Amino acid sequence: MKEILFYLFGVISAVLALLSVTSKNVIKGGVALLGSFISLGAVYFTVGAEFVGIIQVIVYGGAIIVLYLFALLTMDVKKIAEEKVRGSSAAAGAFLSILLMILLLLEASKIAGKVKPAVSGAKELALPLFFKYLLPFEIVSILLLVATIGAVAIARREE
Amino acid sequence: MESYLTLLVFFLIALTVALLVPNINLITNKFLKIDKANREKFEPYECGIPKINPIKGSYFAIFYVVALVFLLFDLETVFLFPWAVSFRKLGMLGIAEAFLFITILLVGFLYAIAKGALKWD
Amino acid sequence: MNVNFLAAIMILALTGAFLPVINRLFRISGIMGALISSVGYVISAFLVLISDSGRSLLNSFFTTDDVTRLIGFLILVASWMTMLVVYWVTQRDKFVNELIGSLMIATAGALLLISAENFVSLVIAMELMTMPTYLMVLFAFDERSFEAGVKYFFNGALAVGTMLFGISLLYGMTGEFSFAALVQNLFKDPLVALAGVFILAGFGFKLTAFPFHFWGPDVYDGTCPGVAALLTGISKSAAFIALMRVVYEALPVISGKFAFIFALIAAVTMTVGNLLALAQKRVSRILAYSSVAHAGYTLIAFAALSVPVSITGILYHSAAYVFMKTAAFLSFAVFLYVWGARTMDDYKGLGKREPLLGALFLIFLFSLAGVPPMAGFISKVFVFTAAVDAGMTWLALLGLLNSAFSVAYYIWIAKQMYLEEPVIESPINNPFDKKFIVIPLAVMAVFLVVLGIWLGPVVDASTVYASKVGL
Repeated sequence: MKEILFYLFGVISAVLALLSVTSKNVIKGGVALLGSFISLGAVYFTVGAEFVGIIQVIVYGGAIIVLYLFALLTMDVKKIAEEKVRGSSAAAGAFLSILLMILLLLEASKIAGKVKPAVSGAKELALPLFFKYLLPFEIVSILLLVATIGAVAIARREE
Repeated sequence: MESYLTLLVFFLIALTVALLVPNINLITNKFLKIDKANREKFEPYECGIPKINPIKGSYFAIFYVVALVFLLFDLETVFLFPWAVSFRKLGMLGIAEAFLFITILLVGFLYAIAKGALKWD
Repeated sequence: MNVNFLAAIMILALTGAFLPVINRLFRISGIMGALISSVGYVISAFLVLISDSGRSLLNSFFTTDDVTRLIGFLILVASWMTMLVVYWVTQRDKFVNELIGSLMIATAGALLLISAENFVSLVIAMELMTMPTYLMVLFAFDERSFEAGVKYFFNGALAVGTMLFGISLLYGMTGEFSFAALVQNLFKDPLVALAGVFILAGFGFKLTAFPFHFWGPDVYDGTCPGVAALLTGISKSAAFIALMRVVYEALPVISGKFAFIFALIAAVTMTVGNLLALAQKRVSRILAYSSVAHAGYTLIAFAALSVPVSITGILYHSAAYVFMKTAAFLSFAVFLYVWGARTMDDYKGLGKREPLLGALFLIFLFSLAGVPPMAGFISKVFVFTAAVDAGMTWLALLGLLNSAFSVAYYIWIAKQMYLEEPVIESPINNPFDKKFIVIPLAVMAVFLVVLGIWLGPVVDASTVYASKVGL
């Protein structure tokens, strides 16, 4: 059951990712990317990495996609659609991704079967986050605060 | 992991409904062979009257601030999620820490409101 | 981490965060912003000074040792003076409170960074120091600062990404983040060396060391000079201290192997910085490239990491650098604000027009060049001594040659200021309170001279630190 779901969501995620880069309509591409992110989150769930899956859905499926779509709104989509993809950049991208895939497959074949799935739930994370890593945790809140102030200040500079 | 299977089923039902309801007229149109693709169909919908001029950039800038602020508070939930699921185990200290965290972040929210970033104008 | 030190950081960061909010809510008048933040600075400087008393908590993340106290205090003073000058230069801008608030939060991040003893806290502190500066670089909101802001943002993101990759490799091997635990668990391994390379590359971006220096001058020149003062002076010095902690406390297993790489990077960085500085026409670009060259000088001390005097070199150069580079950029900011002077030609005769400011600028330039009795001289002495002690005489000679070389462009600015006839007829801004701008710069000059004569504090702190890391 687990394996079936793992492969199912893995394939869905890959297909949707492919759709998102090949789609002529960028909004459709963005929605396909959203689907890809969410099914990737489901992949994490199937291997027991629950917290990572939740983060994948909240951050990527929620925030990043919203930002992505809003960024698309501010652009001139028609102009982008007319631009030709350059052969050299496509070749470089293909080369890099094939290289990465070969590396990953090589490494994965080495450790296949040796790794035991470890549960990484949110509950296990809570104790270290709130006791051992208390100080960095509170500093992160200041970091997020700076980011909020910065985002608002830059976007509404004109006033 | 098994406990999430119910969630998956729920999600699938929700997805089906969400995809079906707004598109039901498209599906019936497919069967009734109503397919008139013309230029007006792809224009932005503006109460039926022809659009006068393209939408201004600043209109989107407001959206963008909202999106950015949403993104940051979304990240905040990531940190509060572990707190929520083991709320009892963390006890009073956990509550105090989470409230300090939220209070500091609320300053940013206060700034966004004071700056009028969330105001619609 | 000491409670007092933590309180100092919290007061600084929260004052900085509340300042824009208070301004938006109550529309405080200009001078109030500077006053509020000054209060924050004074309180936190006092807390840093007394931070050896008091309870300590969660010591595996941040440490409050002599180095933290000394450099922290110097960074606070430099940042306060920067705030005052930036305030007077930009007081008409509605965004001045946002700018000052960001400056304070970045300073809080710098204070955390110099005390970080754990890779988690190191990354978070570095982000806290960098994040407000992304906003500050964009402050001028013109084409040039947009370009600078985008360049700075992507380079900063790349730097922290590279560093995180190295850190995750270390964590994968040992399951530990804290420096003390890493020292015990790490072993000589190519993977550890790879992780070290990635972490050092991340630092290289921050420090504008040679292969990663290209963005620096563009950003320092493109943004407003007050922000460049923060980026080149305070944040670079803090990054140097953090790098020192990483090299001496976390990775001593492999850092011995890195000595030669450090030496090479130092040699190329200072030579490239000085050569390119000579070719510049704009004073801000000269200062920017000289900041690249100074990164090279500090890296000489890192190359000599086997001898104890290298720590004195790093500390002294960071301490001196906080003041001289920050102050030099601030003087440039004042000249730009009052006289609109950007290029070498604009600086003709400015020394006669502004005798006091000109003299102060001269002090900072001479300190950068390494003229006694300023701190820049004594720090270079320590750095080169370290190189000779570690058996790298060639590096010390190259450094000497470079600093002799660098005198050329500093003297050139001085010559333009004092020996030429003025070209700019009248000031573009003539603030009635110009004497207030002079006070912060004078304080920095006093600190430079005192640090150049009174060697005690820095040398003592470095001795304590050297015995702590076992040198």
